[in-house]
Amino acid sequence: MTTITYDQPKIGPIPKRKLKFVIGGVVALVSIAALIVNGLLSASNYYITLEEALSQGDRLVGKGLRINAVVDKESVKYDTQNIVLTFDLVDEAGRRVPVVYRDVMPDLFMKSESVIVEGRLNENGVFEADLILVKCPSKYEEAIEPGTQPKSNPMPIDPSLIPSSG
Amino acid sequence: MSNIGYLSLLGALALSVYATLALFFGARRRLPELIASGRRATIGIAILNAVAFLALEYLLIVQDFNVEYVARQTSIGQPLFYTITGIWGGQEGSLLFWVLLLSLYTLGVMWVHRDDAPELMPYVLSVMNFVMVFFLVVLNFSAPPFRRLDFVPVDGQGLNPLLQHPAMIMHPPNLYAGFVGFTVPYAFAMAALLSGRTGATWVRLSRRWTLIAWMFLGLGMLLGGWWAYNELGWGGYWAWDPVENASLMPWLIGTAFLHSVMVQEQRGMFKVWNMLLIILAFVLSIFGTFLTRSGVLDSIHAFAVSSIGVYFLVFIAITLLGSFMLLYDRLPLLKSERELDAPLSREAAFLVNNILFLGIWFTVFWGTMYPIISELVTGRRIFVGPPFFNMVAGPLLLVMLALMGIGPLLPWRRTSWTHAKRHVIPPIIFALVLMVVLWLVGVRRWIVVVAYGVVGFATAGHILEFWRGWRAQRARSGSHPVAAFFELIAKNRRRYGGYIVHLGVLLLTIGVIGSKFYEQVVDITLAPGERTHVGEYTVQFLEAEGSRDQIKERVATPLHLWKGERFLGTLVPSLDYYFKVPGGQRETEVAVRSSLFEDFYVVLTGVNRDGSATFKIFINPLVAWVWAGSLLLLFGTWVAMWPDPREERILERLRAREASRRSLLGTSQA
Amino acid sequence: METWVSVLVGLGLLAGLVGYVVRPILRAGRQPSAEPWLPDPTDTSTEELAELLFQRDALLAALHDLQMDLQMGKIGEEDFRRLDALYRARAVEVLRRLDELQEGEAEIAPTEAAEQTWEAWIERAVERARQATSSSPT
Repeated sequence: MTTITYDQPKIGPIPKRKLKFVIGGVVALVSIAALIVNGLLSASNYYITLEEALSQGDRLVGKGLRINAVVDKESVKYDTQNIVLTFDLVDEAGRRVPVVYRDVMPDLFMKSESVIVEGRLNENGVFEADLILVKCPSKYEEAIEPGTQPKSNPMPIDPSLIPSSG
Repeated sequence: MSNIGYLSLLGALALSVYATLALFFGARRRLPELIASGRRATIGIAILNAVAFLALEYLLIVQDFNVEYVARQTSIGQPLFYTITGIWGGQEGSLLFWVLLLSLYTLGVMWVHRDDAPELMPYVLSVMNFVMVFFLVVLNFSAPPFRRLDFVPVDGQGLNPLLQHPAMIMHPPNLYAGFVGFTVPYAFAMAALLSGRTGATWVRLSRRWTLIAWMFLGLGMLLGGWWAYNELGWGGYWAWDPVENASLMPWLIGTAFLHSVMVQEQRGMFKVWNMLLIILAFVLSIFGTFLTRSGVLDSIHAFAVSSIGVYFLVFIAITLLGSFMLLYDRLPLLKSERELDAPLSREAAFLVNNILFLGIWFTVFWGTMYPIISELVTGRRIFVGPPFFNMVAGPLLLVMLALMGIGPLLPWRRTSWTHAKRHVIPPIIFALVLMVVLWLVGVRRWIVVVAYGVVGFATAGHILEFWRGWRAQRARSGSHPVAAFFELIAKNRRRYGGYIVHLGVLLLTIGVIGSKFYEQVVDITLAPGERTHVGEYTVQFLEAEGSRDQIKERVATPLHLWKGERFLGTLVPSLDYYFKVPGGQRETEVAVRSSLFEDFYVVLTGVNRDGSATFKIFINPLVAWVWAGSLLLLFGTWVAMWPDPREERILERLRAREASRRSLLGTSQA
Repeated sequence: METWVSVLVGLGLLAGLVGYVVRPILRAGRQPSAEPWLPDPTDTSTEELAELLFQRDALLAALHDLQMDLQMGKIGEEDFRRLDALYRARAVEVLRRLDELQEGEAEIAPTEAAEQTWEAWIERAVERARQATSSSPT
């Protein structure tokens, strides 16, 4: 191994600069940490179960929440004129939480069994969602069954518009 | 065919274990024959991986639905293009694609550096083959692509129609090429430590490979954003989704490395730091795959179910532990040759740059991992959404942009305030004027004004830098003004390539700020023939048209669009219903009319019984700048990557010397 | 395809590759060696040469940048003179060691005939400085 070393030529006296760099580094790190902590404090959201949403509803009102649950497909209503999607989330025990989502229905919504909704609970126990996450298809591996058939058309569209053969 | 593929993967695994060991011990014990054999094994692995890849491709094309992967990725009537590219649509196939890419990189490194650094290269290849071992273990034992079903399905599921989009097809290969690419600089770094040759050679030889990986990763993210914007219909291109974050993290650390390695080249400092950065960048690329493939983000419990996650975690642990132990052992070789002189110098700016990049990375990391960390610590999953990232990373990015405006103005080592001032003040004045003008024309959100001020400052700094360099070049060479400009860039490719990248980042930021803060959204319902005004635009809905083909039904709703009096054209947002997909699937086809200053973006949300249609319309300012900035960024990378003739001359000279020594050795032995 | 045919093809491919891979080892004992691939372990001169050449390159780049910085007004005359002298002194040292290393060895890659280029100019300047120091006893 060859390392080439030089005699450091004298270019004037070198003051104690190291301390300056150390202090600067510490200040930078502390401010980044403070930013992160502040962000966590003000932007944290909680995962809750349906049971918690029902039993501790009052305590959770106004907090950022996220629920991962099954959609009751029967309850889905999509008002395309006003763009309001309403549905119920259900769990195994049959507990239900109604959800309102004032936005366009996500493409995979009708297809996915469970969804993640993000938003807040209001005083009436209705979950007002700002965001619905359906599982992204690239991460989504389905079971393959022989002879699967498509179900009825869940399109928010009058079926008479579609020609029956093409 | 599946048998050949299966055997190939098994053989490739055996060969990769052999190649790792042969190259390592060949280099250690100085056995040229063993090294030669290891190099041949590396070629063999590439052949076997290619055979396995082609075998799977063949099975996809002939649609052998008995193979589980084929049944999942293709279906009767799916366009051939999407069947061929469907190979990287799922887990097994994408891992197979991954090892193929790694093989190509390894062959590339072996070929490009066939006559370079004979002490270093066997170790480089050994480390790359070690990474190969890991992926082949996963492919053979956890995610076998050639597994057969015990029945033959009538039809396959096919590639999800959402993913059937050209950008989405090119998105994974680019991301993977980026992820895999970071193996190369990592392997060079480890080889430097293993061989004890920690001098300038590995840095010089690996620099361009780092840029290649970095560029592919950026291109992958760009295509992902482009796809989200044009396909998903929520009017945005970046959502701080864990999958996006997974590719952003190695990119950020890679960027930090690209900057700080310049300090090592120029000043012989930051050697240990650079090692840490490249280890981190590599581990993060593996970690990115782990995040997206293991299901750990959905729940820790899902993670326990999928065995692929455990493999990745073990590999990451081994890599980190091994790399750090090796680094610790070789610390004496990595002594800094010099010390930081002054806070007002380019190297000090690079240091701050590194701290900021690490800070942003840590923010992204923490935000992405927070649900997992909080579940482990408190048993409750707490998560943070985009507001967290915007709140924390936003200010850091602004500071970074400000620094980006200052850094290039500072010389190496030191300068005095009097000289720094002369360069910093004009951009500051420009920024202040810009802020006042923005305020006067009605931009009243202080955060936007400040952000554009910072962008203006950095942009002015860079343009001045180009201008001053151009003037100096003209004075020196006396060339034609236009020629002098190109001479300036050609003679300082790395520096000005880097500046072009910076300008790309600035353009991109202009677009991001505009589209983030000034997006307008309206919902409208129009009867056939009805007209309405949206901002300065006028839209008229014609009539819904239905159609049907082999795999989907479509309802299209053509709209005429005017801006003021000017007719802009017809937009056709539509809704597709893919009835072949199990359970059926809806897909929104967005229609966008893009211009330099804003995008008119229409999503059809539904057609009603009375024939009217409801639309969600986004007016997104400056989105085109995001794409333009990204392209400029890629162009700058390309300029910086272009071979430097002086460096080539040195490498040429070293190769010639090696060759002459070798022939000398050959004659003395004969 | 019949199962046994595909298995046979696969195994054939593997066998062929194994043969290809072990061949260099089987020839290991023979003279002259077919793979004169590694230099003498004690000979680190190529590595040293590489280090020196890269250092020279970095120093020339630094000198070039320094000139640019001066012309663009980023540093003052005084800083420039001090740093310029410093880099030159280092470049001289590197060039001297390169000379030592290459004693009796022909210059393999002649420098390009781009005499007007900036790099060449700096190189010549450093060369002059070097001759001046080597002719005067230190």
